[in-house]
Amino acid sequence: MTTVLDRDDMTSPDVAGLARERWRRIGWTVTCAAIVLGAGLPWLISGYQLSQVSGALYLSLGVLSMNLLTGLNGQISLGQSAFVGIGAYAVAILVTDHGWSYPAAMAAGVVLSAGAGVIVALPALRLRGLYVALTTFGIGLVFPSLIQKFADTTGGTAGKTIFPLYAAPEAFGLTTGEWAYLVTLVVLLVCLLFVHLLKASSAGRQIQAVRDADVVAEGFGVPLARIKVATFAASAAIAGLAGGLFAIQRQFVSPGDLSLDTSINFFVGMAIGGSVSVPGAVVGGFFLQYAPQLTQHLGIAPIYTPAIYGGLLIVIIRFARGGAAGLVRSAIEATTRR
Amino acid sequence: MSAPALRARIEAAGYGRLMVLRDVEIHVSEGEVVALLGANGAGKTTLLRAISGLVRMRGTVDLGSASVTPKSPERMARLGVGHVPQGRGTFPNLTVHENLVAGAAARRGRLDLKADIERWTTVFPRLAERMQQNAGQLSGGEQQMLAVARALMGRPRVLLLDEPSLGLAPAVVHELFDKLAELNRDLGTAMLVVEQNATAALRVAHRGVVLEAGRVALAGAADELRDDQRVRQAYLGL
Amino acid sequence: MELFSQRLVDGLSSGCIYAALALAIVLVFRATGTLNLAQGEMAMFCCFLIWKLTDLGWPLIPAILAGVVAGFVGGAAIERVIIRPVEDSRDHLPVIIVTLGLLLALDSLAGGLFTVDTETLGSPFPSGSWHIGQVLVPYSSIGLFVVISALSGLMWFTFHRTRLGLAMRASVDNPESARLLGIRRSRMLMIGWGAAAALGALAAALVAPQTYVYTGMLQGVLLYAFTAATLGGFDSPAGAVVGGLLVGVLQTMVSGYVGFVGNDLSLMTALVVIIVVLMLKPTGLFGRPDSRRL
Ligand SMILES: Nc1ncnc2c1ncn2[C@@H]1O[C@H](COP(=O)(O)OP(=O)(O)O)[C@@H](O)[C@H]1O
Ligand SMILES: [Mg+2]
Repeated sequence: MTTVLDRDDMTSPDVAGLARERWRRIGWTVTCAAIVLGAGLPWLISGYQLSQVSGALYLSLGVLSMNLLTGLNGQISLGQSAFVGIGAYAVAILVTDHGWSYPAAMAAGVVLSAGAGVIVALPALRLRGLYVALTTFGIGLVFPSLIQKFADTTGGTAGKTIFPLYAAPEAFGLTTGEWAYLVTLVVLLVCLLFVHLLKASSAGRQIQAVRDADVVAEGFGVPLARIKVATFAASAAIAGLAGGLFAIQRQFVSPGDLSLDTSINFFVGMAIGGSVSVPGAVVGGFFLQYAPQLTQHLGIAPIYTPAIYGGLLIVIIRFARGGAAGLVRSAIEATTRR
Repeated sequence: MSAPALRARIEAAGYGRLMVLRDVEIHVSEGEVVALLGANGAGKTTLLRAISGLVRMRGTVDLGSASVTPKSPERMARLGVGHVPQGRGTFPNLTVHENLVAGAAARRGRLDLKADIERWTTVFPRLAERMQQNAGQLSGGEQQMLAVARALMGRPRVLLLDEPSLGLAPAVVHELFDKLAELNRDLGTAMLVVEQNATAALRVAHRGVVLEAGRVALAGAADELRDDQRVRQAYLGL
Repeated sequence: MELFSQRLVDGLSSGCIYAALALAIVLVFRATGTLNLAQGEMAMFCCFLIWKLTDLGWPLIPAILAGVVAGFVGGAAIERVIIRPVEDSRDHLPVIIVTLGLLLALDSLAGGLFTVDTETLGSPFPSGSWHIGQVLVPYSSIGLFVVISALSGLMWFTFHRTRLGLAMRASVDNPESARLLGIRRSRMLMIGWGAAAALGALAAALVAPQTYVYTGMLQGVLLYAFTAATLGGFDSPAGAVVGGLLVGVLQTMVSGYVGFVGNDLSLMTALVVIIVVLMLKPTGLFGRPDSRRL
């Protein structure tokens, strides 16, 4: 049911176009500034602070994987932590126990993750969205018990320390933390660019057509099944990559970091940043990294942090489905009109 | 003439920023059948949905002595508006019997539903044979009969019917409109029937109203409209 | 043979626990057409309330009743204030996401407002077991089975033999038509959520003597309950009970006899059952085929 009978507040096409132009200009300026700042960060802040920013970047990548799947394609996954986990454990096990190099192990993790994505996506094709939510919820819940089951290789609940350390090439003279940060930054930027370009491409339009109307899209010759499976695989691959970065940052993995809660957090991050916005993923990632500290700073006991996440999720779905990106966009539209 | 069973004065109605109806006034007298004609997209469905509170509107709807601005379909149902929506809107996973019982949801107190059900299944004997089948398994014509019978279970003061002939074979359409005429004769229920099939509608209607792009373009007695050159050309294919 | 019989009984006992929560899931699905991912957390929260009351000196039964009433009121309030504004009969995603938010919030609020420790709650059923040869059947399991069977019967009766139940089903089947007939859909949704939460509270209180009372008490149980509901058919109260018992037996048997699975993979077993059932027979064992396409 709809309201609003007057036309007065309708944004005319001119204003919308103008606002989009401004949005784009502001966007690129901010992006360039952020890249320059990001590249210089190791020389500006302490190692501890840098490790936190690294964490935020890893989380951004995880959120980006959700943007692609849920935001753009309309498929819901509540088990993203499992794909992240596959990427993380691939690095931990292959590097520590099998002597693989880090890049090779990360690549293997991405492939495994994407494969798992296909395995999940195929049955999901035949299910109503409601049931996809349910099964992926189950996957998120089950993953830690799988790690426990194979405790001999995974280290079980106690976690697994990764060895040898992920050292920077000697010539650079960087610490492991700084090197891990820069690698994370570059990988994240590449993935952001990839999703950004994908969004505007013809494949990207098909991905979004599937979200907007399954049946209609199929009528227009969009290969529904292929698009859905491919998007699921790409999203899982990005999540696996995020897991690999998590492993090199921490040099340690444990199932506690890869539980259902992690999946839900990615979901919250996506909602906060804006589910269809590429820069929104970064906003979401930084939110997830710093919100717990912020709430603690405000005198709220840490135990209430998830309550705040939950509350925010509810409020966003109700009042601001576009998340932060949506708010910025409407602010720009509003100021453009005057 | 007595007060009309239904009088709707709609200043504006539409979806979000899209305004579909502008200054439309329509009335149905007690015991009268009015055919609402118009091309696809003229706003006929929107008009019915505005009257029954499914589409927000500015204006008033009078039902006998009550005058309201429709806000919720539940309320309008209680005030005596029966609405058979376009596409029939039966409950596919409920049995025919359950569909009929649900039709009486707006009525209060102890009800003798058995008598009502028996009455409508006498009018629509084909429903009687299928009481325990899920409505989803009925043919299109049977579903339309069910939708009408279900609306009648609520003992409406005025019945709104949205394209009851849609997707039905000509013989079935004929049968359906005969039933509607019969119901109107026997019960005196006022009816507002939206139709693209103007021939069928004008056969049983007392009056007709033609809607064009959200406004009333033409109104008059059914036989006048039948003879009207414009109507003949546009809707009767003559 | 004795070991097998004992395992069977143990399986049926835990099956009763799953069935209890599955009934609440079925109730919400029946009454609102969607799944509540926070069903377990809502029940857990009520269970903490019951525990708190007993801690304050209330006798067990009045405390449980108070918790059930609180569950109804809380469930209805949650529907009214949190769910309703995002309710959309054509798109279930917003509601699911909101229930996800609820899950997070209730989990953390329970820990913050009550305790993060593990507490115990007494059982309303007599302790001890009924001995059949060497096999022990705990009285509490028998009591639980009787209660959930009765609840399942009551639910079936309400849905199929009362006007309220018919209105609920109509309202899920075609929301707009239901409203046109004067069925107050919003009231149906509120009652559905309230009743499901009350049922969940009762279920949690009855299983608490075995699971203990802590924030994660129903987390694993929820997945088994979803499995039970999937197996039985999301719209069938009897299916929830049978499904729950089957899942319980399957879990104990597989853990007991398939060495590789053991305890660690029993959640995995549940997930596999969900996927297999959804693929092969989405209506479950007892569900009615759905003519809608969602
Ligand atoms: N749910 C809706 N949202 C937006 N526009 C609608 C909706 N339903 C109908 N319309 C538009 O309103 C106009 C009138 O539609 P409708 O009342 O269905 O016409 P009719 O029933 O006479 O064919 C059409 O232009 C149609 O596109
Ligand atoms: Mg129409």
